[in-house]
Amino acid sequence: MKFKCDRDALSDALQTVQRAVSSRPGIPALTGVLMNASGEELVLATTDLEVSARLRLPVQVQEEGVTLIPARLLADMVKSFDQAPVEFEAQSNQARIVCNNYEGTVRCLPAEDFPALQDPGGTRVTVDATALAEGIAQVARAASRDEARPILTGVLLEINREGLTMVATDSYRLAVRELTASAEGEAKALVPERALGEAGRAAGGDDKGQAELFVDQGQVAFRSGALTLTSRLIEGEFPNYRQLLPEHYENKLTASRQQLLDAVRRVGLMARESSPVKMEFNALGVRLSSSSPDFGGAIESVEAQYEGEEMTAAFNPGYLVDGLTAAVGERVEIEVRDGLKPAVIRGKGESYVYLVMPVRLPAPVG
Amino acid sequence: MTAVESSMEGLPPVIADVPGQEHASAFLARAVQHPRHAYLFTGPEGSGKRLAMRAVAAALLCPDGGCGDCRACRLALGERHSNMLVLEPTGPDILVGRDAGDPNTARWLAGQAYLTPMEPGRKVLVVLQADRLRIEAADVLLKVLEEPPLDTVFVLLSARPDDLPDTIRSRCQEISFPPLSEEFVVESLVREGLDPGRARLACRLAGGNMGRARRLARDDDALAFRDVALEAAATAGQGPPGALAAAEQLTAAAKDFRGRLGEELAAELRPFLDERGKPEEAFRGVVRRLEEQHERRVRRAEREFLDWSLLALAAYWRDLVAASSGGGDDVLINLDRPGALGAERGAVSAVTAAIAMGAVEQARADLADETNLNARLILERLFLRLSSLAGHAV
Repeated sequence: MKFKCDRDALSDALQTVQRAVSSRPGIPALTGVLMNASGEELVLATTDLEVSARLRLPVQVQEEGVTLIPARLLADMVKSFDQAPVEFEAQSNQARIVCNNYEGTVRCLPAEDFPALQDPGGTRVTVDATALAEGIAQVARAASRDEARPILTGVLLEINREGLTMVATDSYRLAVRELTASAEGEAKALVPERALGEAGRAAGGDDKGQAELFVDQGQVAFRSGALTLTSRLIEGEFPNYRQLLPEHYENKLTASRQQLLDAVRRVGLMARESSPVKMEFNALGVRLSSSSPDFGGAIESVEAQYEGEEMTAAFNPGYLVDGLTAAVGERVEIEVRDGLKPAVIRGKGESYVYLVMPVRLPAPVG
Repeated sequence: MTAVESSMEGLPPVIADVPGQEHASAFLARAVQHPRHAYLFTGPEGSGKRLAMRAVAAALLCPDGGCGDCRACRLALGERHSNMLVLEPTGPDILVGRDAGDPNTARWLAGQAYLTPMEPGRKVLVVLQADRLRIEAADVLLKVLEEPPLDTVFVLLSARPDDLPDTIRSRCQEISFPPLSEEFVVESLVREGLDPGRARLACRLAGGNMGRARRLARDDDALAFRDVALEAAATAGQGPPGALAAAEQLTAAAKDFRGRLGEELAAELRPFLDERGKPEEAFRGVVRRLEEQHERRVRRAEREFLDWSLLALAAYWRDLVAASSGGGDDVLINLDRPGALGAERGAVSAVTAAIAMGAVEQARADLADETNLNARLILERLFLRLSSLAGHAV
């Protein structure tokens, strides 16, 4: 195998795929980047056995072939080069890299040992890359960290003709984001939260245009530009979240999102560990309070528009902050039913819903 | 064609290659057609559990059911297939781990069970030395063993299945690997070019453990622990001061063995290290794993040497029991030393020899005890008992 290419392009490509290289692999092949030169392009592939990355790069292929090279070493080498064409040539067990007056040789890894990555396939959906990145950031935070319930550590992707829905819950809160998208069919996939985070990272940043998602039985693939990320799925049935989503409640607070968020953060400081922030909704807005027997207490009122009966509910401040941060727009709506039913946070538009379970307050003494 | 060879017909080639375990192989060949969710391979060290595990993995991952030649088979037989994950103790125990991202822990393996396979097909999740699972780690695995995803097959290996929690054991189908037959071990070693007499002696001393028998048969120094043990026993025969000296001899020999093993293992790793003694980039993960394994082996070396020595000593007394009960030379373990037994043969009664053997076994059990008793004291106690028996013998 032999090719010639630009130093910057190769270096950027290697830095990108390096994110999927395993840091503590059980098998040496997983420290490698698989390089496949054919036609007029080079495909770089890496995997840590959960997330795999593939990147296509136009190069001058002089001889087609496949080789597996230690990823970090190669990335560091190419990064250190001056801006000049790089020539790469691999024989059976050794590769030679030339740039300007530099010449390096690297021992290859056994390419056969590299896992056979599956091509993206199954149901395809096209979405706006920026919206996808935003949606992932909104829901991923609600996924559970508790490995004892593996299903809840994932984010559900539901594809239907109207678009793409992303859902995550840790059983204390539930985040749902709908994206309009053009899909060819229906499919569901439960994606590990970390893998989805990588996809969000790849789709975010400068305007990346459209991103494609492919979902089949065994994997999900995200394609944005030349980069394709694939992830294994979590096996099992995600809870039926739709039955948890309430109709609109009568009691609704409409407030400045930033003002409310800041207030919850401030008052929440006093609510250490398990103690909640109490929210008293009234005609003037909402009064936040929290207290800790060891440290003290805090109160803050936020002026806002409130329609409905006066009532009190208490929440874990961290969960409130997550929901208020994720909701976009200047104004935010919080709907409450009573102190026992989940509250609903909505931002601008209807596409994002965040449910949070209240904390039951002890009944007043006397 | 022998009877054994004909019974291997029709088996997937990888399973037919599992040495000396016809019953287990025949069972596994049927099992891989419609695998259950979990198997427990039990049997003493050196009986071929790990080879059988690799063969089963290959049979489950190979598109042709275990041809032995394709990429899937090669990778599975080398424990390098990405659909095959192996959990083994990294220290004395298998730990529960922080989360699914903590490699080589129970949570890691459980997390892998719930993910779809890396390459299309099944996943084979292996636990080596499963009896070393900490109780919390066993609980985490229990959950996934109870309701594993359909495409997952667990294979647990244990030489001490009685130490496994019943809850784990009851969820696995158990397949036992008896010690390999003497004929099989001797034949295999002779086929490898070793002397038949030496092969038989090694096999008997190793109690059917193929790997250990091979080491004993190949390496001339490997019988050293027996000589040390017998010498120590002779010293002990000279009375209580001799008994204390015997314990000293054996302890010193064990320390020496540990030192040599450490050097040997370091030499084994050298080709993978660069000039500064750091692992080369490509081998970093593997070298780290090897280093951890070596550290464990060195840590265990002293106790293992003592165990082998005591085993040799027990074998010596056992031979005396056999000889003084009228057994011929062919039933001896120490086949190469019938003459050496000659002098004691008349002097020691079968009962005394049996008591001595019991004392040695007790010392072995004490050494293996988890409460970490002082090895030196165990040996002193043993040799004092043996020296008092020698007094009775006269």
